[in-house]
Amino acid sequence: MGIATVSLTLVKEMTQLVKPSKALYVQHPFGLTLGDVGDTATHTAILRDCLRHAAEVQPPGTIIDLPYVWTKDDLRERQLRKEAH
Amino acid sequence: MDFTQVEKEFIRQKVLPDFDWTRFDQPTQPVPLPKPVTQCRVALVATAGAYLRGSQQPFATKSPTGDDSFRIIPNETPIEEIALSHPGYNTRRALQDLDCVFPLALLNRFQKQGEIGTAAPRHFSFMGYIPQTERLLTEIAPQVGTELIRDQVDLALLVPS
Repeated sequence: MGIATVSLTLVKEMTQLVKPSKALYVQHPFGLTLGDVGDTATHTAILRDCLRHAAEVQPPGTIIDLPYVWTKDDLRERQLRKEAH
Repeated sequence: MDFTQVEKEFIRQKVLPDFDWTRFDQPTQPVPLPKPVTQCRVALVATAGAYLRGSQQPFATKSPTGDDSFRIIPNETPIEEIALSHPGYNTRRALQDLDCVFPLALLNRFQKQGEIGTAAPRHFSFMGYIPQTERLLTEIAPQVGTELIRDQVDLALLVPS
């Protein structure tokens, strides 16, 4: 007994420590998980991907790379170096 | 150095000298979806630090040991009544568009469009800085699980910040 879950992740290495049943990796900055402010198209696409992958059977601990990469600026890289908030 | 090392060193130097990540040897076993997504009741479980402005306390953002409590966000809550408290990201930016970290409005649009069955009656937010996880693992997260089951949730979407 339990509840089906699907997890988004922003840092694959952290998710590899925790090993949730199924995770979807997006390369977005902290605080902008589903995409930029006002980017409804990306928010919608990511949620649709979450629902689509939730329905799939995958081995436990699978991390799927979603095709969402932050290209607007270097915010994510600076955050990963602890140089930005 | 990967980010888990960068963050571990940062927390040890600035906040908690003996911090280390909680890790698991085995993955969680998946629970299959019980029905098509278009019939599912879907809940958000987020770490955005979301709380109800005016009726709930913000999360403790200045404590070195973080905050392992959670807040219940009723599905009908007007978006402008949801606030964010989290030391790890720019909450002012996320408040300009809450769907960035707490996609409540988006989930409800999906319900209207028939892409999910229903949005759950309650959603849950933690604040993601929880460096000491014992109580979370043994008491608090199971409590949220119980509430999700009580609400007959079919699918929980876990959203980090």
